[in-house]
Amino acid sequence: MHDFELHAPDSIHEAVEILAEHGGSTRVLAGGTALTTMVKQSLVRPDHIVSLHRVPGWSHVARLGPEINIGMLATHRAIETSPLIREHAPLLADTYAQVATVRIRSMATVGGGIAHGDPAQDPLPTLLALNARVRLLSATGERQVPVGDLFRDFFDTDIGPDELLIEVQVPAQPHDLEGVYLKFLPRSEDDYATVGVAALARVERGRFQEARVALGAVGPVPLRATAVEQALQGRKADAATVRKAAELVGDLVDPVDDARGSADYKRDMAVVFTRRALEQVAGIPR
Amino acid sequence: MTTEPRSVNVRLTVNGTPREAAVPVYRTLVDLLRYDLGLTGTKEACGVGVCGACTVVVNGNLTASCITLAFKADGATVETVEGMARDGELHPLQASFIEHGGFQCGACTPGQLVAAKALLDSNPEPTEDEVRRWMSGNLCRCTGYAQILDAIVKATAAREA
Amino acid sequence: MTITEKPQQQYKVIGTRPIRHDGLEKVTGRAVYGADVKFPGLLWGAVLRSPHAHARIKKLDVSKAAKMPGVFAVMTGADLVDLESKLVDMGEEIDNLAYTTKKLMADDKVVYKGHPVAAVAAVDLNTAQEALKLIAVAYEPLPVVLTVEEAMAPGAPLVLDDLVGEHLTGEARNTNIAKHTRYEFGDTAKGFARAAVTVERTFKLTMVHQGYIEPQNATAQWNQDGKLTVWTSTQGAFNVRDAVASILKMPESNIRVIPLEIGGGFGGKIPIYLEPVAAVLARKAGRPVKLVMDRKSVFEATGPTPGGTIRVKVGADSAGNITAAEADLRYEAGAYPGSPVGAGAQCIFAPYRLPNSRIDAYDVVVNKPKTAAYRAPGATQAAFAMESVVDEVAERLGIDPLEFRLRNASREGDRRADGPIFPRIGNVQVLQAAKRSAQWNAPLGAPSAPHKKRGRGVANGFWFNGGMKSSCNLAVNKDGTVAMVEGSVDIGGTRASIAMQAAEVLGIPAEDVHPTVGDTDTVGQTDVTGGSRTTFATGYAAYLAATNVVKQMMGRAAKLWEIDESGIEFKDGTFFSKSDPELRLTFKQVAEKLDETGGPLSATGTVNMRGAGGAFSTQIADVEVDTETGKVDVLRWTVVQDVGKAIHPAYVEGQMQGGAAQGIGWALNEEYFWDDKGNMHNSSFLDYRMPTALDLPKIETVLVEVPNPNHPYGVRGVGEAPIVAPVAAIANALRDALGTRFTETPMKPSRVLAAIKGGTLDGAATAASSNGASRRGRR
Repeated sequence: MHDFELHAPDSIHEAVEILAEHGGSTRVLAGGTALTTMVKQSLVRPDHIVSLHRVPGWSHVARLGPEINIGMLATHRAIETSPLIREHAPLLADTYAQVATVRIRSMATVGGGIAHGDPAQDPLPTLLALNARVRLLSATGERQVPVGDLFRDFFDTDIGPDELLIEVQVPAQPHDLEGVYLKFLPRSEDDYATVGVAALARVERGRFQEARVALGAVGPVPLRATAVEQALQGRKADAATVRKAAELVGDLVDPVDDARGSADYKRDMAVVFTRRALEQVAGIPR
Repeated sequence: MTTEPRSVNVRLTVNGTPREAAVPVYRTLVDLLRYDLGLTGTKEACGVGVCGACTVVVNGNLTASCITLAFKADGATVETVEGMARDGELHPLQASFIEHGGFQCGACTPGQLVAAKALLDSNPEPTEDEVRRWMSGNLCRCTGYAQILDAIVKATAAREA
Repeated sequence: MTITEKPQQQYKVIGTRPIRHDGLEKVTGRAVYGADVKFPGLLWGAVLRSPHAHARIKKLDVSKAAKMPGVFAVMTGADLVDLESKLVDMGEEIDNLAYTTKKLMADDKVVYKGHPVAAVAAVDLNTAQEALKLIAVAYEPLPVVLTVEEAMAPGAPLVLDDLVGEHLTGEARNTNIAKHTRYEFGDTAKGFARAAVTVERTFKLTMVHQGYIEPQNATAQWNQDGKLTVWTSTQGAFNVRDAVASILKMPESNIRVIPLEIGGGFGGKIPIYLEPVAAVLARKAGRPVKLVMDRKSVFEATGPTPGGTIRVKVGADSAGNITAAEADLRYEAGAYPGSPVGAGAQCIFAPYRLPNSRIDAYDVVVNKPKTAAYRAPGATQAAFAMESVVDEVAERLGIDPLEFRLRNASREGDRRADGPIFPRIGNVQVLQAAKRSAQWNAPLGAPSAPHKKRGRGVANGFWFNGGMKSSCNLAVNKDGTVAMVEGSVDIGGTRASIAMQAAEVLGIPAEDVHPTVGDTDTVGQTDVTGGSRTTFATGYAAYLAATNVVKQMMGRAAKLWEIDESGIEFKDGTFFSKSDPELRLTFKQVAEKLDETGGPLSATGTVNMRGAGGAFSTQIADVEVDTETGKVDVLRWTVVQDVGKAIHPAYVEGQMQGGAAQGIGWALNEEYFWDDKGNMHNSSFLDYRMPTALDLPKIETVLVEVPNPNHPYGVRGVGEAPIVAPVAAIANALRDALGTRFTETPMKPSRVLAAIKGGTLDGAATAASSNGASRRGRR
C-alpha cells in the first residue's frame, strides 16, 4: 500500500478545515470497508487521508422531530439493531440488515456507505424511497441535499472535496406505509446486490394511495422509479396493475455487463424484483 | 517516492494486554497483529474483507482486520483467537470445534471461532438459522460447513448444560 | 450412516472418532502456517506480473528498482538457467522441466496475464511493491487464443513457439495441441448400430479455481555452508525440494524443505510458484526472503482447473444395455502443456461396463494460467458430460436413472475403457446404497411458490486414488507413548488417520501416538498429499513401522521373561507368553523396561504403493428453480461413496461434504470471467464468489465400506471422488425440474433463465420425453 499523510481530527470542524486545505487529493476514512479495500488495490491513491476515528459522537440514532437523525459514524449494524429504527423506519433496519455480512455491517458506517457513491450499496434505494436527506458540512457552512440529488455517476457524488457528510435525516416511515427491500443474489448470499429494489406502498380500499419504488445496482446511480410510482397511483392494487407498472422499470435502468449477469439479464431482473416488491407491499397474493 | 514512510504510534489492548507499536501509516491491523505483535493466529486470505479469515473483535465489534488500518485501533481493545482460551482452559467453542471436526486445513478456523464467539456473546442461544446467517461471513473451502455449524450449535448446548 | 459390506474384523481404534492431534494448535491460533514464519533480517519479496495475456517482452529494465533504497535484490528470468526437456512426476501431474523456468518467470515472452516477469526483495512488502513500479517493461502484445476451439483452429496464433506436440501421427510442430491420446476398444460403429437409443451432446466448461483459503507462500534462507532451507505451504515437501534442486542446479541433499501447516490445497499446491524465486532472491540479497501471494495473483497466476469442450455419444439397446460409447475431450492446459485431460479420459467411462468404446483426449495450450490439479483433476468435467448423456439415454428408454446405471455398472474384473482391469470396487454397492438412501426414497415435495419448480438428479463419479511413496518413523517412549514422524503434510486430519493405524497395530489409544509432519531432512521420501493417497499409503507405512515395533517389543518381552520370542503372542496391546498365563505385559510395561532390554526402540515403514483401489461417489441433488430469475437453490444433497474402510468416519464425512460443496459451487456459480483479451475480471473474492454457509444444505453422507484388499485395513482414498458427480447431478436435477438439459457451466441464473425463456435448448433431445416426472413412479 502506498504512503499517505494521515489526519486524525478531534472534531468535525477540524475535519472540514483539513478538507478545505487539502481538498481533491484527500479521502475521508470512516468505517474503512470501502476505502481501505480500494487503497489496498491501488484503485485510489490519496495523498491525504482524514480518518474520523478520533471524532467523538456522530454515531447517534435519534428522533428529534418528524425525522430520524443518524450520525455519519453510526454503523450499519447499529441501524439494523436499533429499536428506534425498528419502530419508526422498519424498512431501513431491514435494508441495512441485508448488507454483506455481519462483520462488514459492524464496521461500515452510514455516512461512509452513502458518500462512497457505489450504486450497488443496498441502503441507497431505501434512503431514496424514504425521501432521506443528508447534511453536508464544509468550512464555509452547511447544506442539506436530498439523497435523490446526491449521486452523479459510479462512485461520484455531489459531495464536494471540502465537504463532509455528517448526518442523514430520514423521515419516519408511516405505520400504514408497508415497505420492503428485495435484494437479488444470483451467486452467493454474501455478495453485492445484482438488483436491489426498495418499495413502499399504502393500499386503501384496494387501491394504491401511495407507492414509492427505488432501485440500486442497475445503473451508474441508484434511481427512484417515478414512472412506476405514477403508474400505480390511484390504481387498483392487483397483479395486473403491478405487473404492468413494473415493466416500466426496464426502460429506466441502465445496468452493466459483468460477472453477476449481462445488462439484459439485470434489466429483466429489475422488472421481476420490482414486481415482487410491489406485490409484497400491496399484499397481492401470487 | 519516500522510503521512510510516515509512522504512527499505536497503543492498544490485545487480549487484555497493553501493547504498543510504531508502524507505517498504511499498516493494516492484521499486519500489526501478525508482524508487529507476533500474533499470527489471525490470517489474511482474501485481503478485501470477504472471507473472514482475518476476523477480530475491536471494541466489541466484529472487524475484518485486513481492511482496517492499524491506526484506527489506537486506544482500542482488540480480541483475537489467541485470547479465547483463558487460564489454560479452552473456550467451549474451541473444544467443540476439535470434538466435532469443525475444521480440516484450519486456515479459516481462527476467524470462524472469533466470529462464532461474538455471536454467542451477543446471542447465547441462537437458532440454527441464526448461526448460519451470522457465520455466512466466514468462508470455509474444506468442510461444506456442516461440521462447523454442528460444532457451534453443540457448543451452545454445552454451555447451557 | 455407514454401510459395511459384511461383518468385518473388530477394531479398537480404526473406525472411532478420536480428536485430532493438531486440534489444540489449530483452534488456539498457534499452528504455524507459511506466512507466519519470521526470522531476523527477513526481507519481503514481491513479483511483477504481466498485464498482457500474450506479449513479447521487448525491453526489461530493472536498474531503477535495484537502486531504490530498501531494495536488496532484483531478479528476472535471466537468473534462471533453462533446463532440458525432461518429464517429472509431480504427483498428480506431469511437468516438463523445459517449461519449468519459463513458468516461474518469463524469458522473452509472456503467455498469460499474471505471468511473472521480475521479482524484488526489500526491507518490507510495501517497499518491494513500490520497487516493482520502477521496473520498466516494454511489451509487444500478440494475438491471444483463449478457448480450445480458437487454439485448435487452423492458423491459430501459437502460444508456445517451440512446442512439439505428441499427436497420433507422431511429433507435430506449429501447433497448440500439446498431446492427443486415444483409447479404443471393440468397434463403436457396430455398437452404435445395435443401439435402440443414441444420444450425442457437446458440453462446454469454464475454468474454476480451487479457492483454498491460504494463498501460496515461501520463505528461503541460505546457510553459511551453501545449504538452502525453504519453508513453504505445499502438498509435497519432497516435490518442492526436487524441483528447486533441478531449477537451481544443486544437489537435492543441499536443500531442506520444511512444510508448514497448509491452509487448503485441493491439488493447487502441488506445483511450485514461489520457492525458487525466494531462493534466488535470498541468495542475491544474502538474507532470508519471504514471498506471500495476494488473492489476485492466486487467481491469475496459480493453477485453476481447466475449461474445455467435451463431446460424448452413448448408445444403448432396448433392454437398457450400453452398446457403445465415444468421448472427445479437449481441455485447456493453460499456457503450458499438462491439463488433466488424461485423467478425465481415463475416468469418463469408468462407472460403466462397455463392450465398445473410443476416447480421444486433447491437451490444448491457451493464453490462460497453466492449470493444476483440482480434486479428482479432470474427472468432474468428464462426468458432467458422461453422466448427463447417460441420464438422457435412461430417460429415453424409460428406465430409472439409478437402475440404468446399475444395469451397466462396472464390476471387479471388468475392463476400464482405457485398459486396466478393475480390482475389487464398490460401484454396484454404492449405486444400491443410493437407491436405498433416505433422500432417494423421500418425496421431492411441492415447490415453495407457484413460480418455482423442483427437480431431483443423480450422477455417479469415479476417481482412481493414488498410491506412491510414503515414509513413517516411529520411536517408542518409555512412558508407553509413541513418537511418529511421517512425511505427508496434513491438509485435513491425516495426522490422526495415520496415527490411528499405528495405534491399532500397537494396541494403544490413538492419543498415545504423537504425530509430527516431517521435513525433507527428517523423514524418508514421501510424495504429495494428493491423489487421495495419504491415509492409504502413508497409513500403510505407519502400519508397517508399527508392525516392526511390535516385533521388536516382543524381543524385549522375551528378554525380560528369558524365553524365546516365538513363545510370545501380542493381542489388544498386551504381550502374552503362550505357555505361561502369568507372564503378560502391556505395551506400556514393556516400554518402561526399554533401557534394561537394549535401549532405544524405533522403526521405519516405507512404501511405494500401487493398488489404491478406485472409489465411486454417487450423489443425489434436490433443487428448486425460481423460473422468473433462474436461481437454483439446493434443497437437499446426499453423497454415497465407496470409502473402503473409514479410519476416522467424521473426517471421511468431512471430505465427502467438502468435495460436494466445491462441486456445487462449480456447478451453479463459480467461473473465471474473461474478456476477449484474456483478462480475468473477477480475480478477487469480491467477485469470484464461493458458497457460504447460507448457500448449502447440510450435506448428508452414506459411507459404503467395500474394503480394498491391497490395504491391511481396507483403506481406499476418499478425498477426491466426492467432487466428481456434483456438476452432473445438478444438471440432471435441472433437467428433471425444467425439462431442459444444460450443457454449459456454470448453470448460473442468467443461463438457466435463458433456457427457460427460450424453451428447451434442444428440441430433439426432449421430444422423446416431454416431462421427466413421467419416469418417476417413486414419488
